[in-house]
Amino acid sequence: MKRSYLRKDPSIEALFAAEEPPPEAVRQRIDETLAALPEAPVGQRRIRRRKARLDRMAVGVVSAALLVAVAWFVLQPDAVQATKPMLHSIFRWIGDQGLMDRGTAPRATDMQALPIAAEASDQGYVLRIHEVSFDGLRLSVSYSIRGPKGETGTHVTPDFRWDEALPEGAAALLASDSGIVLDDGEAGIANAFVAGRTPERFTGMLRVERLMLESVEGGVSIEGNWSVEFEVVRQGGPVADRLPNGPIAMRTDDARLQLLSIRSSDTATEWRLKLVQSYAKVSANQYDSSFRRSLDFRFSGPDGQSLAVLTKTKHGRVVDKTAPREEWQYEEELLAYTEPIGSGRGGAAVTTIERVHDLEKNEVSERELSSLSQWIPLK
Amino acid sequence: METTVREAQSGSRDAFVRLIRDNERLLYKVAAGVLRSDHDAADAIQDTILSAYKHLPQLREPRYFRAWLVRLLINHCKRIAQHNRRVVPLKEPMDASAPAADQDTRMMLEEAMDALDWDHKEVIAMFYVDDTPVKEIARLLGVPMGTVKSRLYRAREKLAGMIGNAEERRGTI
Repeated sequence: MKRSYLRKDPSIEALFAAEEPPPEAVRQRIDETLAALPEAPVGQRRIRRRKARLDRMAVGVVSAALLVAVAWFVLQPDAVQATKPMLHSIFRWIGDQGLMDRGTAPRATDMQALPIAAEASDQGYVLRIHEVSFDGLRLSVSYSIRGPKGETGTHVTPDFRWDEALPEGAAALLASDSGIVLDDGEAGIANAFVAGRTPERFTGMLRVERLMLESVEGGVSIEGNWSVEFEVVRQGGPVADRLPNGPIAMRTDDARLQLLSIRSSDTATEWRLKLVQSYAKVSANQYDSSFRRSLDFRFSGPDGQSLAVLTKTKHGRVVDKTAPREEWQYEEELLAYTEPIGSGRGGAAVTTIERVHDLEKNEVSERELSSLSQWIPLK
Repeated sequence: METTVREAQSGSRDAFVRLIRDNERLLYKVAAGVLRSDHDAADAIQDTILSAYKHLPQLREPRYFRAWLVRLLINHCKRIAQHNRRVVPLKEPMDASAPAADQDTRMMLEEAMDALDWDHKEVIAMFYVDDTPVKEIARLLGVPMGTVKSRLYRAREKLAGMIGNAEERRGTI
């Protein structure tokens, strides 16, 4: 077979053919990021100088002027501050809707002024836990980590281990960690979504024995001990089962969808779904060269507002392999955590989206599957 | 687009904003496809915008801005994915390590892409964006052209294997 690395497959090409606009939550983040950009980053000032082809004297003058400007910049806290986001709370800064009200009071305008719930340092890197939020369903901590100077642009991300952060009897179902690079480190939010009963107050421990340093050029990790303990106090209302009459079933001719449960708290909503489809159809989808079909789920709250998915996972299997192959059923269990649904009465909706990629026309179409979508009254 | 890239490289914030606006669908498509979470995708896009703004002067060939941007994005996706640990199984775990017959039901090409390692993901993404030549990909990645070619070839082989020997079925992948 000829090695043809230059031939392009339209189905792969279509992965990078962007048809859909980003959802509102993503677009909003893009807007905020663009709005917060300073006028001209340092690197671009360098380019401008290079392209100007100034003669040696002019370069000297410009350099001197820049030195003065840089010195002025460094010595003027207000000027420095103007290029940074006004930071009141990491939860408020980069958190989702569920954490917006969990931030500290808007009194700090600098990372250094944020409260410190716990701190550990090793090898010149200082990890600080600033804010802790727990409402029985979601445990979130905001953190910053700063390293030795000179790492501008490098992500310094803790490798959080959640297994000791929760008391016995509770389990972290999913964990996620997202951050944003700072001048000399990183700020971020780490989450664990929790099952099981927890006391009102306990001491959480995050084991951190590795830091990942990643820049555009690549990444390395360093070993050490940045493990921290912090007090966790449960806040807010209860974690409530919201389905009034147990699981809800939906079906089409060739698929069954069950909404198994909805649990909600002040900061998040947990959705459990089970999707069963004909294995033959799922397999045919793989081998048919003319199209690809997939199902996706969207969640919305009482006012119809779209709820951003914070993290999700799924596991699938063939249910009963003793049956004839043509009767096999493929069952997927999906677990998704979204922004909070709110505690008020009303309803929520699960919407199933069928996405079909026509490989021959190289077009992607979406449609709502009304038979697998439902508005659900909440208790 | 090249003119806009040059304007942005010359320090025009507005030009940079236009570039991002023009490519925000691409950014979302790639990030959401790789990370499978809008929240994570937003993080990756945010980091990519900040990196791109800072490092844009280092881009030598404005015409390959999109490939360069996708490379930054993939790096940030990689970092986020490595930290998004989904370690604890559900209460009633299903068979996550299902035999090959089951795994091939995860047939979507996106999922096959998910399973590629990051070196291969990166090179495939760059190759498929704006017909970026192998030579330019090699330069952007700082690796020899032969490495890019072999990664492309191996990525194709892996994809073919994961989506059911599609190379034989469709003649190409």
